[in-house]
Amino acid sequence: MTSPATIDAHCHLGFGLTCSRSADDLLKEMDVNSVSRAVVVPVDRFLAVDNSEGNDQILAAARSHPDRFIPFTTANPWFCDRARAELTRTFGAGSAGVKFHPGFQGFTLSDEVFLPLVELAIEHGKPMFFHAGTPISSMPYQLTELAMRYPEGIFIMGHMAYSDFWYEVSASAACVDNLYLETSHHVPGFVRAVAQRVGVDKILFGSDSPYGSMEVELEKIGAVFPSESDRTRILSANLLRILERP
Amino acid sequence: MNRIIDFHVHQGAWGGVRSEQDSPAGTLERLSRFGVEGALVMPFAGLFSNWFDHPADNDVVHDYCREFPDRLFAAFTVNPLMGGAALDEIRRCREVHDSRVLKLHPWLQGFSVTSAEMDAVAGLCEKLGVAIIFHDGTPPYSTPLQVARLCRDFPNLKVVSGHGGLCDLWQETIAAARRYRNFYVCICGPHLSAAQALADSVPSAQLCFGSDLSTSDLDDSLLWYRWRGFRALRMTSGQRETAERMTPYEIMGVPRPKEV
Repeated sequence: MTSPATIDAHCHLGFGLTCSRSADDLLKEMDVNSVSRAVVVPVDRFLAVDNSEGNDQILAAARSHPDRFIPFTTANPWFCDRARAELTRTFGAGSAGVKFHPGFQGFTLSDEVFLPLVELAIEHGKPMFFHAGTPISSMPYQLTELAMRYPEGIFIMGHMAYSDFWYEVSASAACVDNLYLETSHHVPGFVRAVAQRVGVDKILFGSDSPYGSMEVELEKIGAVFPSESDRTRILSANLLRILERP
Repeated sequence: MNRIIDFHVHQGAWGGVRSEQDSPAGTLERLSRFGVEGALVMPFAGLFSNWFDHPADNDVVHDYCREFPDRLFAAFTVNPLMGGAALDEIRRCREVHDSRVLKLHPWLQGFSVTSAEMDAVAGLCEKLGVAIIFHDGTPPYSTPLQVARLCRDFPNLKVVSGHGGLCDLWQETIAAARRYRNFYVCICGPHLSAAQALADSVPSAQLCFGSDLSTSDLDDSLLWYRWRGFRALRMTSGQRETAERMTPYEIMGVPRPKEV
């Protein structure tokens, strides 16, 4: 049985060098945990270099299970024009957003080489999800600067930048209206404190499965947010608002 | 049988704040809710670079643990940049308190692991049989391989990675543990997949678990979250037994309890 209310904003699919997860296995984990839908993104080498191959796996899974998977595709900015072409292709094929991983993809959020992809995502109305929390490439104030530079874009900070940037996550997110925070891996008390500072409407539930446990991460949200209204927003409504915006 | 030890607990809360409701008995009761029977209790206030009275802070932690000497084990801290005063405090804690573990936090305390001051501290700890547990996983001063270099230069020193390299540097933690038998890993903070890789790759005789609980933070959610994750790791009962009950005693070099 699945709940119509729960969407996991961060799951990985594909058979990489260090991480493998089939669509069937992810669906099983979702069913066990009453998760109705999941944002799916590629794993390791498909994020880094073999972008088209990984994107096609994600898009194929979403075509097979359109009511369960929400595909976010990727492109390494160092591929320049080829990266723009790849994202354009995947947007046309149903990609709902973009995942960037500056650590895997070898750039920093302040690199000029990356900006054409940001502008392309905005042009197509696609939200951008960022792995965050890894120095020196993906730190909170770098993402905030990007969100300030592109107020029309939608930016999502993965893992609430776990772990050592916890001093600045709330402060950096509070600077802008277009930055959302995904909850995987961060400790419960911190997730609660951030939500109190920036507002529940900026928080998105994510497990980072299979790097994280969907079961544990869901239990965390239940423990941290006793209000059903808050949980509804974090578990689905906030993400749906992003995905369904005109 | 040895007790299950949480090897990463801080007395007080971030910044050195202490709650009046924080008590040793209360901490043990909280740990027991998650099947944990004892803890290595480390200072908090002394880990900040503006702290000058390390003896006072170390005494507070020692006194906190004194009522339960078989279950709460006091660690202590110094700032290596304080030179002779730091060395004096290490000798005092070892001789007067019988403390066996020094906690260092290079990025909060503002020193490099590769410095003459650190060498002086490491050499003394090696001589006195004091293990050092480091905050690690954070550039530029606290990466696992920076910490691990002490294992090479001080081969009889026990060095503990306090966080297993966190989410970004757990792979070099594995490399360090494979290279040095005197390098121990406290799983405390890496995501579940990285924690599993550490459990699979690091011999359990070099492995232990820690929650990073702050005893004055009376919210149990962190204890739940961390120990829930540890219990989800795929390990044999023998590996788990060693990591939970044996390795902490081995690092501390303290006599094991006769009976639990």
